[in-house]
Amino acid sequence: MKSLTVFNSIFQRSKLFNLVSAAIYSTFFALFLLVISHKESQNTPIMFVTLALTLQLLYHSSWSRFFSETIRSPFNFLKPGFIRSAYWSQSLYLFITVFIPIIIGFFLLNIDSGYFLFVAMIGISSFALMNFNQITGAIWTSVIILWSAGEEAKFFNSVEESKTTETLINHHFSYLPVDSHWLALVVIAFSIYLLYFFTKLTPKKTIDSSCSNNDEIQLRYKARGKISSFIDQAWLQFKYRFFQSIGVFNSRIEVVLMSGQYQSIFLFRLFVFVLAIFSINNHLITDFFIGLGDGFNAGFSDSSNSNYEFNNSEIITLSIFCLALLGIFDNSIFSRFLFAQRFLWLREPVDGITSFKALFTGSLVRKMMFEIGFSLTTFILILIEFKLEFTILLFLLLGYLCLKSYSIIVGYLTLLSNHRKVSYFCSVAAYAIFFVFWVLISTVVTVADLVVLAVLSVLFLSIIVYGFNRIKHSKTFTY
Amino acid sequence: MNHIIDVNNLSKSFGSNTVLIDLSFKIEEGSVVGILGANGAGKTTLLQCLIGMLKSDVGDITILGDKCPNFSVNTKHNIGYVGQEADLLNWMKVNQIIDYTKQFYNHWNDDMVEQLLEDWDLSKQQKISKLSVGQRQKLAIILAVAPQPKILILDEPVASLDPTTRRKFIKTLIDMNLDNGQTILFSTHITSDLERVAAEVLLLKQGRCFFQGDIDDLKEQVVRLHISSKRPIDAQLPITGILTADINGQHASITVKNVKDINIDQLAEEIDADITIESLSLEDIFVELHS
Repeated sequence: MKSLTVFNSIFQRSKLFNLVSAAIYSTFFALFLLVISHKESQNTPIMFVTLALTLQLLYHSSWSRFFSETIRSPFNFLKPGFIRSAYWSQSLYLFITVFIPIIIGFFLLNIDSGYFLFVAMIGISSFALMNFNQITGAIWTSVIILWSAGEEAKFFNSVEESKTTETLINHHFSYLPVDSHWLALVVIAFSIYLLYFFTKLTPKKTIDSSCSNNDEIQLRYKARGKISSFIDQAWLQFKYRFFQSIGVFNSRIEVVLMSGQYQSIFLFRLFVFVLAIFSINNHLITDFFIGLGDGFNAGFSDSSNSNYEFNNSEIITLSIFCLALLGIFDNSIFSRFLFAQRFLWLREPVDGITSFKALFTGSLVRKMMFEIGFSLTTFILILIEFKLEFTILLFLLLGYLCLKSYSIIVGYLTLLSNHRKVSYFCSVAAYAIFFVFWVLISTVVTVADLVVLAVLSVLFLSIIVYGFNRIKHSKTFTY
Repeated sequence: MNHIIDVNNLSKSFGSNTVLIDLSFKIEEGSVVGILGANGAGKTTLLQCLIGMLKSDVGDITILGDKCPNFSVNTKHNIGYVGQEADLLNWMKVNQIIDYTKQFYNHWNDDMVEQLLEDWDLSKQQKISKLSVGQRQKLAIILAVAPQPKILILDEPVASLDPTTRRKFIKTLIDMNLDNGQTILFSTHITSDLERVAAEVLLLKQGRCFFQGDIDDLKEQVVRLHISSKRPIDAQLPITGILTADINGQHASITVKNVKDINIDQLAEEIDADITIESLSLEDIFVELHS
């Protein structure tokens, strides 16, 4: 069918990969159906979470990336009916992976499908930018962690009674100060707008000419295939001029490194910082998060009370959100260095490869330290403001350490072109497993055990990286 | 004759660098027009503006009655484009991208595809990422011509092709124009190829249109005057539209923009010299224009 040409081409792009993904998804889907056929089963929420995680794995590791590459390819520009085909293909994909489970979940189980739809729609808006994928992935994972943690706590404490009618009616977004349906509508509209925006943007594979005022910024033209947002460009211009005026730019390397950078993740973290630190006592803003927390805690508190104070679980809720957002390493540092290395090799007058690598290694370490230092400081400031217990504080800091280490490894792996697909698949799968693992153990083990497990996790992931490095023989990203 | 492409007052800048300045031209249906210009003259920018890949700063472009960039599906069916760099879907094989592209079009000439694949030694089972630059260019051309569009826009299509393939491709272009009356607009540096295929030329110089019309008219207008006098020739010759002037004592070689504006007999009498007119090839004109 002409309308599904894009769908077919993406499916055929990596048949094996897609078939494996489809097999995993189908298996979980079949298990899910099997479980929900026994309505008394307490495993239903876990199965539902697993299904959601599998969907995330499929969405972020395969379809989302291939789809965004397809719609941005200049080859498809001027193809009659291409945009229509793209819309149809995206709709079919979402229908298969999102709407069918929602419909089944809703009609057979009365399960909270609203949240699934809501999160899936956030995912749609992120498909075109890998950077947003990271953020969305973090948000989604946090939502799933919180939800499953709540369910698990009930399970382990044997407090979960048979579901009342009220529980079925109220869902995780019932306690928001705004109508969740309107919110979902806004997200859906935004998603559709983004799809429209990126299909229109397709032919413009270079960045907007407004960046060309500064010759150095034009280096971005060399970074093929990267689309920067308006925010990216504006922030880049501002930063460039500011650093230039105070004389921070000491070498061309600094400029090139900056020019290949996505700026939005940095801004997003600033936003989280400001929101968390300065709005903790602002009821207009906190009502939203309190409502969200209430939803995930089955509505034990009332956010309409203006004298409401955060309870411990809500503080932890916010903390985990912050952890997910700040713990993710800004992987664009690696891609920037790769780009800068290629770009400057023939241009920067240095004495041989050793000197060149030494120059870069210093810059790379500085950038990584800055990224880790900035996000860790932000996270610690947030945690201090939250006045958490020492045990929870330690748990969150360990979580930060593991997540940061892990995302550095993921960033490194995804850059290895030889094993890009495998590494991406493995890393996303591990990402999901890792978090489920942490959620499960957090409910049963002691702090001492957590420390040991955190160290073991980092070691285990390091071994995976080492294994990958041993397998690959060429085209290595080295310094 | 219908104007299949209509460009009015087109200007395009990249920051402070102005690439196209107030360009206006029309292209008739069934014509073959070559765009000639030095590096950076604005050929690629012009072609990308025409199909809507780049947004123009000022001016209107109309193709097949549709305003750029809001082309209808019908108009898209009738525009074939091959860029300077063959941007293909690298993860596909040759047969896959052919099948993929075919899905989008109502008309598809399978015989032509098979013939060109055979002529240009392209295997259907080859992966696109493994093709050479020239092979990719060939494939991009095949994919552009197979739907038999009314307009074919080609950005330096033969730049990466070997001489044999280049000739075959030029023959294919001529056949398409003669058999189907397709309008072909292409940019090139290779003036000999342009002369083989195109009847008309659009000559760009520093973003402006220097000449648009028949190649023969251009050759009739731009000529070199050889002047021999018995006394030293004055540097300030009373000639309008001088492109280049090489004055050496009693002899001078002057290339003029439009010889029709000059009364040769009157000029010879005025400066007391013998004047002979030398016709120039397209390549000579190009060199004179950019020297």
